[in-house]
Order: sequence, then structure tokens, then C-alpha cells
Amino acid sequence: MIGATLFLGFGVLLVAGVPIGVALGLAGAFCIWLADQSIMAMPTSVYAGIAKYPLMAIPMFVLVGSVFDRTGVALRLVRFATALVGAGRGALASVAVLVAMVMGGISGSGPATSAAVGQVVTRGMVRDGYPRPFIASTVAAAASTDILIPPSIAFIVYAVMVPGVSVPAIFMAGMFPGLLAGCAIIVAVLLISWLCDFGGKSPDRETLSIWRSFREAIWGLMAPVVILGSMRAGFVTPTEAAVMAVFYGLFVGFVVYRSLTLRDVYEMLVEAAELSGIILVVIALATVFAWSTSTLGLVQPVADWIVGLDLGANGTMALLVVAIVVVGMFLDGVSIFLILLPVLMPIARHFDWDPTWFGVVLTMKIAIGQFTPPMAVNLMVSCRIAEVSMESTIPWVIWMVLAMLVALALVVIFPGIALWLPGVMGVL
Amino acid sequence: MAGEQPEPRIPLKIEEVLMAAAMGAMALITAANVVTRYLTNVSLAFTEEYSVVLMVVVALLGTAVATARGRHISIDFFVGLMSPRRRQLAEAFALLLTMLCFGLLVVFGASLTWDEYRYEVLSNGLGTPNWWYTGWLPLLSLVVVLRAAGRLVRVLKGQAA
Amino acid sequence: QTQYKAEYKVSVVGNRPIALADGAFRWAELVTERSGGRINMKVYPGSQLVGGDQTRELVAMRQGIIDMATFSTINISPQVREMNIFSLPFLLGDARGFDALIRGEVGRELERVIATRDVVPMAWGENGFREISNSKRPIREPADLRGLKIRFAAGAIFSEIFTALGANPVQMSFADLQPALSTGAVDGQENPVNLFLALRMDALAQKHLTLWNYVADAGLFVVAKPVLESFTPADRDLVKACAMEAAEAQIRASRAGLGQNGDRASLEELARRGVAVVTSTDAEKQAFARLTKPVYDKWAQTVGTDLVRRAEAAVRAARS
Ligand code: NA
Ligand code: NA
Repeated sequence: MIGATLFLGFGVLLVAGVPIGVALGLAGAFCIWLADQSIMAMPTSVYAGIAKYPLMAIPMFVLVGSVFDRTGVALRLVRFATALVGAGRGALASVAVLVAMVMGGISGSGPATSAAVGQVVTRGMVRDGYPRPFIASTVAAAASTDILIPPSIAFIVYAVMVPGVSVPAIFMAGMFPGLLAGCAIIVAVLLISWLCDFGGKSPDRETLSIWRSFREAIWGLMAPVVILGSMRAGFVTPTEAAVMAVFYGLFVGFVVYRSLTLRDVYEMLVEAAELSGIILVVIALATVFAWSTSTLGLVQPVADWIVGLDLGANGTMALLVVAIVVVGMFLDGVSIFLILLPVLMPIARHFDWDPTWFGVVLTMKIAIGQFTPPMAVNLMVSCRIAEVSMESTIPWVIWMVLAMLVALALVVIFPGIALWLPGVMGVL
Repeated sequence: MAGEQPEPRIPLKIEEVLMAAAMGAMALITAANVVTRYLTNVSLAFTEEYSVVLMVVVALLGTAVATARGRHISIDFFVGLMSPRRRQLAEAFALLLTMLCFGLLVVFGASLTWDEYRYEVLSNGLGTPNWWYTGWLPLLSLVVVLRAAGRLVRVLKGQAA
Repeated sequence: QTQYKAEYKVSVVGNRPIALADGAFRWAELVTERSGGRINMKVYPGSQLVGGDQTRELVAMRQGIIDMATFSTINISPQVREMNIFSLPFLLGDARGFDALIRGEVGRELERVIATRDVVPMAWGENGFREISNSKRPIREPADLRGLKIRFAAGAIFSEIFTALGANPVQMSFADLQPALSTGAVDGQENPVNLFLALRMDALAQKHLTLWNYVADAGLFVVAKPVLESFTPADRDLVKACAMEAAEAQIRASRAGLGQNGDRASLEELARRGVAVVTSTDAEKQAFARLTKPVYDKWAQTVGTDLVRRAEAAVRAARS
């Protein structure tokens, strides 16, 4: 009875547009009160829920994103990729995807990349003969790889919540599935562009020297290497790797590109602090919700029920694909993990799924949800920048969803795509 | 999302300056740890206790600012289908609940701080009185409540969209 | 008597098969079974009732969040300073010294102290003597520790011990330990052998283990005072008897395989996993103890000089 109240109350608040953290916290606190438990569990959970050393990686990686957002790396990456790929049909669209993937290797959350890449490529793509809905679709799909290609804030939360999964292990495990997803999207984008004759129509193309644009872009291309390299070598923790990347980004911005001012530093600190607050407060208040679900014994019955459907490993996986993609349309990866992992992990244990691989597979599903219409976080951002309605993207974006589903199927069938890299790196 | 809305009467700059300082301090402490570890024999590892508290401060100040600007993560799909009048009521409702949620954290967070004070709880790493750290929870939750109240007034006056 | 609750929440750090957590589960199973379900104890492992921060367990019990717990004494030492007695470096030496403490008058005194914190002790158990491991080199003498980053669980005394030995101490919760070891953020850690094996620390690059018994970690089975007072006298006895039985099993489990009574199973398992084990001689322990003497003396005052003198006498008597 109290359990039904918990989920129903939470669902109603969520649909009514109440901030997800508040909905989680209040539903949890209300049930602590209904079940006659000590309400002191609320402040204790909130404080202990965020005062954790591994979570410090979140604000620091958010800061990395803010720093590189302002240095102008995305623009220089676009110029280099354009110089490299040329200007044929579908070329600029592939550039957008490639740049989003590199930006994904720097920043940790999708919508930010969606905005950064969208702002840089939209005008050029329009002039080159791409329809705006197609541009919004491409940017949103490409940016969705951001939570797969390390660093990823969703992965950090997963590793903190799941015993036996470390941040470096799941970062490495996300690398090839992320690249695979990006390639799948490029294939879809190229096919559409060739069939519909998109791109290669810009009258005023400036010729870019590959070497000159490379010299500018190399600083951005090196950022993922700085982040992953330092972590791989075991020099530093993920948090410290993020801070190294912050200082690297500041160096690039101040010394190399000379695009930053002290005012920018202050503004990026403010921006990163606000964004971190938005993420961390959900984590803090979700701890109250988790306290309720776990003490009311709600988690195991739901997991047992799903296992009891007797769909087998493949059937259950298929069910999870549909369910998580749908949830992913409405919510971001961090929120989804906080709410659903307590139920999902017993299922994974039942089928003896590797927890690191399972985390990657779940994140791929969430990534797909983030650009699947009618409702999707990344698509919303890219549509706003391209100034089109979300419905208008459906004829294009649906093919990219399909492409990424194929990539997901490959990772499900061949777990080695995820687990090989952390295995050889010795972090699994 | 924000941008075109009027700023609150008490400028958000107060929180912004504080949280930028906390964020910067976190980054500097972490960087100092790496540098000293590889270049010197000195260990600054004890400072990590401060970093974690700074993160709590950033989280709550960031929440206050995001509350004032209406930027928290929520599902706005269904609300978006409503009429403007209903949308206004929905946001007022959400802000009231935000005040309730953080109001509970003010009251019971204060109670937690008081317990840690009278039970003489010391921190795990440095042995500092723990209520110096936990006390930020009720204090900054109060800031969130006030920011939510301010936005509620603006929403009801039709100033915040 | 008031009405019994539908469920009594038991908190413990870690999870099965660690001896400490196993003791909590065993206690709960015994009580639930022997009371015919009247007292339904449910274990929440991993300190999940307090957001994974095991040092919050005691305060949470006093606030009514938790009803019962199996504490590691290290985790309550920051709040109950007398409990630091188990952490005085090289005081206890071995199982005989440990038993002399918990079975003797010092144990009774500690029980009285903890009872003033609104929790009633039921039985003493054992998490085990804490042994140091690292990824870099065998540790035989203090010089081997120089510059190593060593994680400790909680308590300023550990920070001071490792600083005195020339190492770099880092405080970290249990939940953060594994990623920290696998990334090399810390070089080493200190924990009982049963925990080292259960958590497969050898797979986290911990290739060198030194058995030096520098401090012990006691287990403590406790019930919140109002909860115990709500039970009938017969049920109080039942809960206590079950705690003592579970504690006995916990002590046996934490000492198993370490060479006592010819049982070398754990040592053999360590060898099989390629862990190089150093067993410190008395002379080697002396060298460590000399360096940590100032820390010992400082914390003896925190614990209470009188209590420490009585403990020293009890340990001397038991080990001679
Ligand atoms: Na990323
Ligand atoms: Na983990």
C-alpha cells in the first residue's frame, strides 16, 4: 500500500512537471513518515548521498565541458574535419557527427554537446543544402554518443552505485560501443544524404588548408588523450584526470587560441557550479527515495516479477530495450540510473550479466532515448538551435534511431566490443 | 529556460560568486594534490575532506540559483500541452513543493547538525567537529527555500515564464 | 511493553562473505528463527541506511533510523574516543591480547562507556587484526613504507600513525576503496586478511601483504536502548544469547586459516593468488612501534591513561 503510494505519488509529481529531485525527495520523505520510520533518515541520506569522494568527478567533468565550450575547440574541429572530408554530398553532415564524437571525448553530458555542435554547424549546413530538420536530427543523434564515449557522468553514477564496477573500467568499456554508435549514425547520415542529394551546394566555400586547420584542431583532439591517458597510466583518479583537463583547457584557451579572458573563467565556474548543482541535487534526493524503496522491500518484488515473466535472457533484454528507450525520451541518464538501477541490478545478477557490460548496454539504450521523438532531451536542444519543430525531424531521425539500435544489437550479441578494451587495459 | 526573465530583486550574484569560489577551490585543491604527490614528499591528501564539503556547498548553491531561474530537471512535456494559465499554476505548485522539500531539509538538517554537535561527532579524516560540515545542509537549504519563494511570487505576478 | 515493530533494521558495513557482515546476518537469522518471527531482524549491508557512510551508524541509531548494528569499533571511534584503544599501534599483538581485552575488565568498562551513548552492547565480535598491503614492494621495515599512499577508513589516529611511519595516509570510505586501488590513486590499504581475500584485493594490484597485527578491529553487536527496552525480559535474553553465538562464529571466521591450530587455508589461498606475504618478526614490529610511540602516547591520553595502563597489564598477563 505504502509502496503503491510511493510510486504513484512520484509518477504524478513527475508528470505534473515538478523537478525530479523534489519529486524523489518528497515521495521518499512522505513514505518514511507513512511507514512510521525516523524522518532523520531524510537529512542523513541527503548529506551522505552526495558527500562522497568519487562523486567529485561529476562537478569536475562538468567544468571540463564548460571550459572547452568557451575555448572555441568545436569550431576548429569543424574546420579541420571539413578540410579533411571535403565538401561532397553528406560530407558536412559526417563532419558534424565526427566533431560531436570528439567533443564527447571531452564533455560528459549529451545536451551540452548538442548545443555546442549545433551552434557551430547549423548555419554552414543550411548554406550547404541540408534541410533544417535533418540537421537537428544529425546533431541530436551524434550528441547522444556523448554519454557513451568517456568521460560520461552517467557512467560515474553507475560505477558509484554498482559494486564491482569502477569508473575507469566502465569508461574504457564505453569507448568502442560509443565509436560504433557514432559510425552507425555516420552510415545512416551518408545514406540519406546520397539518396536525397543533401550537401555539397555551398556557393562560397573557403578552401581550408589541412595542415593549418590541423595545427589548430590538434589541441582539441589531444584533450580526450589527456583525460584518458592520465587515467589509464594510473597516475590519477578520474576526478584528478578531470582537473588536469580543466587546466589543459585553460592553457589552450589562454595561451594557444587566446580566446579566453578572466571574465570567462568566472563565468565558466558559475555555469559549471549551477549545472553540477542541478545534477547533484537529484543524486542527493534520490538517496531518500532509495531509502524508502529499500526499507519498504519494494525493489526485490519488482525485479522478481520481471524475472518471473519468464522471457529468458534475450526476451528480458528486448523488454529492457523498449522500456529504457522510452524512459530515455523523458529523462537523462543520471536520473534513470538513480531511479531504476535498484530494480535492474537484481535482474542482471539473475541472468549473470557482466555488470560493466550491462552498464554500457543500458547507457546505449538511454542514449537512443535521448534523440527518439516524440520527446527527447538532445533533440529538443538541437531543434531549438535549428529553429524547427520536433515533429518535422521524424522522417530523418527515425533512420538514425534504427542505425543505433543495430549498434546496440551488436554490443548485446558481442559483449567483447565493450569488455575487450578494459580487459587489455587491466582495469576490469 | 531562462534568459529573458527579470533577475530576482536580491541578486543571484551572491550565490554565484560563492559557488564559483567553491568550484575553483575544489579544482585547485585537487590539482595541488596531484602536483605535490608527484613533485614533493608532502601529502595534501587530508585536504580531500574539504573538497567533499565544498561539493556539498556547490550542490546546494547551484540548486538555489537553478531554482530561482527555473532550470531544474523536470518532465515538461505534459505541462507543455496545457494552457498558459494552467502552466502557471503547475509551476506555482512545483515551487510550493520545492519549498516544502527543502523546508524539511532546513528543519531536520538543523536537527541532524544539533545531534552531531551534542554527540561530539568528529570527522573521519581530520577529526574536525562534524557539525561544521553538516551545518551547511540546513543553512543552504534555507537559501533554496527563499529562492523558490521569490520565484513563486514572480510566477504568480506573471513575470517568470 | 509496547507493540513489537514489523521489522528491526540492522546495519553493518560490507557484505557477506566478510566475517563482520556475516556475523550480523547470522545474528538476525538466529533471532528471527528462535523468536518464531516475533522479532524480525533485517540486515541492511553496506551501511546503506546511512548513505554508505559507516561512521554515521552510531548517530543514526540514536536518532532511531537504525535499530541494531554490528559495528566495527574503528567506525565509532571518532565519536566514542575510548574505542581508539583497539587502534593504539602494537598494543594487542595477537588474538590472546585481543581476548584479554574484550573478555576482561577493560571490555566491561568499554561496554559501560558505549551504554552512555543510548546503545546497549550485546556481544563482542571481531573484524580481525589489520594487515597492510600494497602494490609496490614488500614492507619489512619503516623505510619500506616511505612515500606510499595508504588508504585508511576513519579516525585521525590512523592519519598520525602512517604519517609517523613516513607514508601518505588518505582517508576514504569503504565504497571508494576499490576504484582507488584499481586506478592506483592509492598504493596500499590495511584490512583484515578475511576481507582482503573476500574482496579479491590481489586483483587490485595488491601483491604484497605484511602480517604485522598493528591494530585490531573489534566487532560490537548493539541494540538501540529504546528498542531493547520495548522487548520482554525473555526476548532481551534471547537477542543477547543469539548475539553472543553469532559473535563467537564471527571471531572464529575472522581468525580462520591464519595458522592457528594448524589451519593455514587463508595463507595458502594467498600464495595461490600470487600474493607475497611477509610475517613480521617481533624485532621488526619493535621497529615500527618505536616510530609510532609518540602517536601511542598522545592517543593513550585521549582514550584515558588509566584504561590504557589496565589494558597493557591485561595484555602482558595474557601473552606471557
Ligand atoms: Na563523453
Ligand atoms: Na562501483
